[in-house]
Amino acid sequence: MKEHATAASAAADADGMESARSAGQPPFDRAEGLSPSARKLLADVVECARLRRADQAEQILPALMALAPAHPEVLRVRALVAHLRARYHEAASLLKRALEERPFDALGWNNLGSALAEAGDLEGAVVAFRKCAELAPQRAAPWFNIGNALDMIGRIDEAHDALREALKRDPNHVSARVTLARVLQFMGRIAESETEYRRVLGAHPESALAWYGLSTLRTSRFSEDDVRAIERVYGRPNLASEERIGAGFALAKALEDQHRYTEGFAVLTAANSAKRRLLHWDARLFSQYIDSIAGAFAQAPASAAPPDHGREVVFVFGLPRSGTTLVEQILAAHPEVSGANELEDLNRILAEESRRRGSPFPAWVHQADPSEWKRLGDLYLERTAAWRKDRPIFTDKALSNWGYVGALRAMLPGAKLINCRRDPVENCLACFRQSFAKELGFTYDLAEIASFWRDYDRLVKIWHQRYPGQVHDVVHERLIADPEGEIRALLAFCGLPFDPSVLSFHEAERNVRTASAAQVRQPLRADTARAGRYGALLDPLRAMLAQGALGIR
Amino acid sequence: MSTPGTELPARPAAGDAPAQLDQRLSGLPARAQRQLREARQALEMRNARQADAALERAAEAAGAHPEYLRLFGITRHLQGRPAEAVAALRRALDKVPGDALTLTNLGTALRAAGDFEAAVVALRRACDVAPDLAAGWYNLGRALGSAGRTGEAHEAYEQALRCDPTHVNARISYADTLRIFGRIDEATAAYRAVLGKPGAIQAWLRIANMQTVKFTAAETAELERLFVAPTTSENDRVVVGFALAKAFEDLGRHAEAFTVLSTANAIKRRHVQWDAQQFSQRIDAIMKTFARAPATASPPELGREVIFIVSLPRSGSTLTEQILASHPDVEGGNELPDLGNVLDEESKRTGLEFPDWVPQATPEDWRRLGESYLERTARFRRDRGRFTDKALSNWRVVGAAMAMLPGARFVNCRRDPVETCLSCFRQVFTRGQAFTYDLQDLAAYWRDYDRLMRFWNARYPHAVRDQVYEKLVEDPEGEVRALLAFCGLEFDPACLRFYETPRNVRTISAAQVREPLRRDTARAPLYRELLTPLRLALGVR
Repeated sequence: MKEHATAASAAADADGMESARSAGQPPFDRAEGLSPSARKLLADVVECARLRRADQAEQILPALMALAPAHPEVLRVRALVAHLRARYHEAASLLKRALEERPFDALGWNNLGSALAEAGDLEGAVVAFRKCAELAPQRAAPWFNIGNALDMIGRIDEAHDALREALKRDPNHVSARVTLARVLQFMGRIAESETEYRRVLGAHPESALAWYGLSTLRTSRFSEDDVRAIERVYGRPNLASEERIGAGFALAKALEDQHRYTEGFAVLTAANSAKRRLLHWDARLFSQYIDSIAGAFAQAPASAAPPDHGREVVFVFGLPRSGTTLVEQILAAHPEVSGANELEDLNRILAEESRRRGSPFPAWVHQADPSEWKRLGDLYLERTAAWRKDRPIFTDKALSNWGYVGALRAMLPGAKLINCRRDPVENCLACFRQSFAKELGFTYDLAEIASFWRDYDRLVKIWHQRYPGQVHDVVHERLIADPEGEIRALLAFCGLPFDPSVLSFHEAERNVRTASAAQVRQPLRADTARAGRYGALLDPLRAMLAQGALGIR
Repeated sequence: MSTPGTELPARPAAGDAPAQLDQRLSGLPARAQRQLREARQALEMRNARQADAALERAAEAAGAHPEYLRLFGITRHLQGRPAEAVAALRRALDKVPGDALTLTNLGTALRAAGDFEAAVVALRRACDVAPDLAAGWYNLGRALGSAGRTGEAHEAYEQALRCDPTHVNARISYADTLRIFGRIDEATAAYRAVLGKPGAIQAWLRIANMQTVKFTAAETAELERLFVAPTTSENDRVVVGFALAKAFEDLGRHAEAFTVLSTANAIKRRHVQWDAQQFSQRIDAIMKTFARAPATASPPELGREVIFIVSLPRSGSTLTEQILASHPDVEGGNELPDLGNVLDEESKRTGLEFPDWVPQATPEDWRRLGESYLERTARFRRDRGRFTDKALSNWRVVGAAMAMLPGARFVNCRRDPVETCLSCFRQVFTRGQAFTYDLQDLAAYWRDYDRLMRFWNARYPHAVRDQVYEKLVEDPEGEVRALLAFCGLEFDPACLRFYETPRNVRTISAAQVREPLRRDTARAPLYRELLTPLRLALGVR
């Protein structure tokens, strides 16, 4: 599960580049060649864009475009307005036109990078930000933007270097340092990460995002002084919603660290509610989707894939916070296994197939003939070949995989399927305590988490029934109680010889980009059960997990 | 405060039996008939957009047909455009004078447009023409209720139930009138009678809102079952959640109550719009605008008949009004829309939002607005010389009301902020009050209220009095005497026995003000540390 990317979603930073031309050159007149009246209009649009008032800007633009339709600065400000209107592709193409004429315009490149990033082209954004950094070598902002974009596409090591460049130029760049701390966390450099967060907080104790980041390290405890400091942030009126959410999750963690569970739960509840409002989730629709999967795979589809097709893949799945990162870390400590983390490939292949057939998964399942399943399996192996360069076997722990067991059995009958299970109350509580990246909509409302868990439980039971012996459950509580026994069983199921290095998995060096990044750097802890500390506050959750059974308590 | 539930937008009676309805399409080409049937079905599902599309296709062939106009009117009503709805329905009625269904639709649209008296007239005619149509009586009851004519509303609901004893909404509304009369036991029994019936989910909330009534063990178990059942819809889960939280509270199970309440509030909050920052900016603008009191041509004593009660919800305003209305010289006007309407109309006239038009308002404008308010509220001064107006938006417009009516008095009902916010959080309002479903939104709202009231206090010290709820509970006689003196009223012992005053109370405090003052209304201590986030956000810890 990707960590909540607080700083990453902020608009690209552009401080002080308005007039930078290139190294050593004097600032240039952006409105060069425009009449006084066009200059006035241009200044007005820029001001509107600065205030994010697209409406007003759009009222002025036609007059400006009538006066100077092809002027590069006019193209650029049109792009700014398009950006405000979330028309990122249009913004990018306007900026490209402007930059053809003014390839030396650092600000334009920065704008282009932002537009591309918003349009989803992060690789392109990195290229544009790098141009900007070349043209404005003294500036920290482009390096921060580069680091931010690289972090989002998982190029952690490069992100780290870029953020260091940003901080070399501006040691007080708060967002850069917060992002650096996050990146260090993913690299497993937990102590350094903590140092960086604390450095930010030393100068800016009101930084909700730094407190939040520090709270995600999980391995360090907050002190009483920390609680008071976060409380001050939390109590500030008019916090932006992102800060309010970040401060809430951090304060909840800090209160828990001080064994103030009741207060922690209350704060957590408020933070979840605020976060949930930023997301979309329809629990009923999701349940229907799970029903449709169960129906579509009532009979295992015939497949032309040979029985050992895909034996180089281990799929690890489960709910978020059920131990998937841990299981992957254990497997990836084995000399024959690479941990690929959460891969998008299976999702994409099935989505492309749905597009090709013009109907959504799993509606087309019964129409697919045996050779098509094999083709989809081949496609997956082809797309993931890079993960098998150094070691013969790899793990894919995309969380959505629990819905695809039926499809995977047809595509890659040789693949190993590992289901991570954890006590449902603990699992749901752990989700609730976490602020994830945007795409998870269901973890911010206890009723929705409970509904999701029931869907998961129902479908996995069906898979066990339909494919007996094909899905191996790793039960988190059993793994904690008897690591060696459970790990041996896991390796045996995966057809891997036992290797002692898997028992010291926490020493394995690899980047981990999930919420568990810091935890898997430590030996197993037996104290991860928390639900008992909240007493009756979780009784409604227990009741919901029990599907309305009466007389719970 | 609006009584929860009574303000639900009316489901416009699209019609009853299909065969009867088809007769209404006579004289139209088959194609247009099909389109109007489609529109009617869409309206049954409350899908105004689909109805609108079907009507648009039928417009050319059927645009002047009364059934087209009727369905068009219902569509506009559903789209929140009641004035257009009324115009279309009047045109339909011209073509089929005395048609009961059209009269019913017209009445509900008039009610939505705020013209309660005209709504009553139209609906009475509908009931004359079709005395067996339950929808007609039911909607008549609602219009009478909006007009404050609770006694007649009660009778109309009785008629609706005579026509259709299974009409759940009519039964709930009937029970509402009993509660307003103060017949709490009968009201409770009537709500209980519909529990479990389809469409009666609101009855749970009505019982929960009778602070003096407790749920039975069986009822609590049923609420628990409904709350966790996967088949319960989101809307119903909100309603059930608020009721269940109340049930848990009654059992002393405050931890569970908090979790359930938080879940229900979170769902509700997702379905309403609120921007706390924007609201704070509006309060800033008001303070900036009224930094200097506007010059007014209103004579100093204009408005001395009016006592404005200003407050947040759940801070003792119903109690204060009940005390004042127990005085022989004072009528309790409840939450009147008139001040808001007068200011809204001025905003429309100037094309500017309040308070943006304030700097350009002339002294004569203020006087005109003040007189307009007095004219609209004349009915409250028929029997007694003074009246109270406790509209919930009053606290934001004290400066404007002072310019309009310099003789008016303002009683600011204050209560401990944690108690006020918790009490709001425990409540689901039928509409508006979107800031009450999140503790941080509530805290921000309370802070805005607090700073603006301090501002008004400093500006108009002679005209604004803080009525602190906790002090009133502590020393009722001293506080009531001081309150009456501030309002320029002679002391009257009836004000101390306010709970005996036979008067209709429409807010959720209806049952509470029928009892002597209780000292045990503080709930925050029961939730203890669970209110930490609220206290932090209020800055009171």
